[in-house]
Amino acid sequence: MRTKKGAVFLLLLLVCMTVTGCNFKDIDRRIFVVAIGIDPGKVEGTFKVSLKLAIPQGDVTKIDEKMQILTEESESISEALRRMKSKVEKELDYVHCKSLILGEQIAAKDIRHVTDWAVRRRDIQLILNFAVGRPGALEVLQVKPPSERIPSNSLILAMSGQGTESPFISSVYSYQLMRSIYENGIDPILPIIEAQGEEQFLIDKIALLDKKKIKLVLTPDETRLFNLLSRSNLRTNFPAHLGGGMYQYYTESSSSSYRIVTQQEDNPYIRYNIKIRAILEENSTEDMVTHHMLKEIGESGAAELSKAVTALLIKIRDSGMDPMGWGLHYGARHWNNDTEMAVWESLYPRLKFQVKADVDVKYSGMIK
Amino acid sequence: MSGQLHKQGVTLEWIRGQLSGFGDLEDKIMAVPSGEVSLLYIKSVTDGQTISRNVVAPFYEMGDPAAYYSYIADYPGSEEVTEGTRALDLLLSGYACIGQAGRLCFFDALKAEVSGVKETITESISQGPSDALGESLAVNLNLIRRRYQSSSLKMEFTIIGNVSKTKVAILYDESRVNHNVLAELKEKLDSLKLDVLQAAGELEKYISSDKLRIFPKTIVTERPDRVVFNLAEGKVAVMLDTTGYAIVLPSIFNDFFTAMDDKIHLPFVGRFLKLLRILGVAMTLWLPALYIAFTSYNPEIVRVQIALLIGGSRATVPYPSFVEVILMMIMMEFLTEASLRLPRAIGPTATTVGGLILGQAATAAGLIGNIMIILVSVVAISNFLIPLNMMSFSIRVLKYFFVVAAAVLGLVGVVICLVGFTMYLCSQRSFGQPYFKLFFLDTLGTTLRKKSGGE
Repeated sequence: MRTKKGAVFLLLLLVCMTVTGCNFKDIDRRIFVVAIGIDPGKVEGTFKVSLKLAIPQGDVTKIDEKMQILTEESESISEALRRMKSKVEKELDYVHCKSLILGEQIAAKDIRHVTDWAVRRRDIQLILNFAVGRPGALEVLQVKPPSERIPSNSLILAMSGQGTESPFISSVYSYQLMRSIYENGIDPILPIIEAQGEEQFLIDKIALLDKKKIKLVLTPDETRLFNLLSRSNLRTNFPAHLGGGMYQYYTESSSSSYRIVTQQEDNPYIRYNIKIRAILEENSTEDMVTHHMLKEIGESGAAELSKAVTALLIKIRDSGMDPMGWGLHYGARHWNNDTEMAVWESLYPRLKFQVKADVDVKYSGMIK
Repeated sequence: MSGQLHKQGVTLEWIRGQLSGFGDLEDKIMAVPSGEVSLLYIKSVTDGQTISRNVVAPFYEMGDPAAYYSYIADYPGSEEVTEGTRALDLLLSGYACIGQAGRLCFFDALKAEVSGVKETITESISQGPSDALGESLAVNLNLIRRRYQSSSLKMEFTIIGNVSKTKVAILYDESRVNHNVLAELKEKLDSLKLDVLQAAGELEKYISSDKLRIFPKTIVTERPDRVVFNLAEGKVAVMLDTTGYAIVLPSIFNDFFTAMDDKIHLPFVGRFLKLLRILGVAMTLWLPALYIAFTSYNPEIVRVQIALLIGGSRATVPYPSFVEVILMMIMMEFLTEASLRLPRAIGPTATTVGGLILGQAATAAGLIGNIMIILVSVVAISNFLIPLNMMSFSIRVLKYFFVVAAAVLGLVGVVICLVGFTMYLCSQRSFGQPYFKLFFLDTLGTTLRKKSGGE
């Protein structure tokens, strides 16, 4: 009886062993794609797809980044990827592919094809960060910062915001991009990555898109203000001028909120409230900083900030795009479902902005 | 004889009633023509030589019960007692009771087996008692009785083995034990047909009903304090002559992860240590399986850094990951087994040669990945966190199930295996008690209060 049971068990085990193989592939038989770049091909209507591959290092103690870039042109992205399989001896594995760089020429024309592909790929749809590469995606992929140990790691860290806390970078996931393309009342944005030579890249601008292509590129200063409005606790510094001296304060915590006020039909406006708790970081004068002065610095900083923010908001309004999702916000709070977006369309160009900044400089930063 | 005893007063009768079921109770009548004297003592806690020299011999030399009684009562350390509970306490702590004409005198004949008691080997703890059960049943009973001085602790003796005639003692606290468990145990012991019984583990095997079981259902321990602790929880202990281990039953899964010094530590430290142990079990069970799952099926779960690291360290490895894992694990088992059999002096050498040199050489030769070496050592070390050997061995075997499941189905296999074993554990019973319940006593607090308040 007992031996019979054991035999059955053993047989089951053996049968199970034969099932092996359909999905079993050792890690050393896979090659990891860490970034995808998509540029327009030579022929009109084709894509030039570039893959950045991370090659595992045999000796971990040596800092020796090995990477390989594959390029293939085709009118379909999936076709290009399938063809590239024949160029390497191992299986291409996309599970660690966290960044997709769109060439600027594609972004200037139409991003919807690529976005559609990216959200359909089941293995990367939830992890992919999007960015625009300048001058092209391939150039950005070729950048190899000296601080990097794993290929493309710096790109991934910068784009996802896990590494640097730069106030100039916003991270955009593929599904977020997709949503803002197809949702009424919100327009997509994309960070721009500029390749500067072989060893450096710069991410400090945001491109505003009108569902399809780039319409407006914000300057680094505007990008920072944009990030201040779109997320909380932005770590940055802002200037404040007081009596001929220049002060810089560091934002320890920041928050912003807005309200769309449309009670008066002829005078709709958006009221922005920005609250910042700050620490004084820099002082160009030799003056002693007193508690009273901190208050004054805060007031003057708030005035400057609200002026700059108002200018940015007017610039965005005049471009006709809605990267903050004000339209969505408006639609969500009104019941006239058939007409609300049309009303919003007519309201939007007439919108005015009231920005109330509140800067509280808590501490002079000096050792007492 | 009974008439004589009755005349000696209610107290002695009452004591007999209290101590009924004590297999090691010695109840004697010493008689000379001029009268007789009752002698009552518990063998396991008293010294037989002291009694024969200082209690029995003088009686026959003097030949006069009354004079003898006053001789005993005047003996240093002796005590005349009229109160029942005090009498029981003295008897249990190693006094012999001499009764003459209704009077009771207690003679100090305590046997403390100090010299013969060895230190614990397999269940060492950092603080707390280090006495281990010895190989003589008398010594062991003495160790238990000294730690559990209650009249409700009963001992019953039986003999198992047609050839070996092994003396087996069943210990239990009458007021706390679950009598169904006791009955089931006795029934099983009675139905045993054996020639030779030599070890506690062997007996454990015979009294467990399930033949193809993976987890131990009864604790096999060498610590008298663990036995006492479990007796107080209402469990039954079975002790064998000629073996240094006792069996405690019924036992639940959680019991195997309790070390005896958990109670000594500060609350947070104790809990932290327990958490460490559970974490250790998780590591030793799952790490090899997860390694296979991550390297061969689901590399997306780990970070890209680790994925590349594993990929790099496996670049030279010729065989698939599960072959690598099973190879190294078997090697590690060889080492563990080998160092167990080796004499103490050579043991460390074997570990050094095997662990360090072999591992280093294997990676240098490119036969296994660097990560694998780390993994194997973590698995080996965390396995030893389990305080009881039986469970430690079970877990050691169990991890191969996970390895096979991972090799066949990847991460899904590990999860299926885990669910399967959880279900198996839940279905298990140890002498009718649910095996996987968290605490043996549902009302742990009340029991402790009862204990400290005194019954």
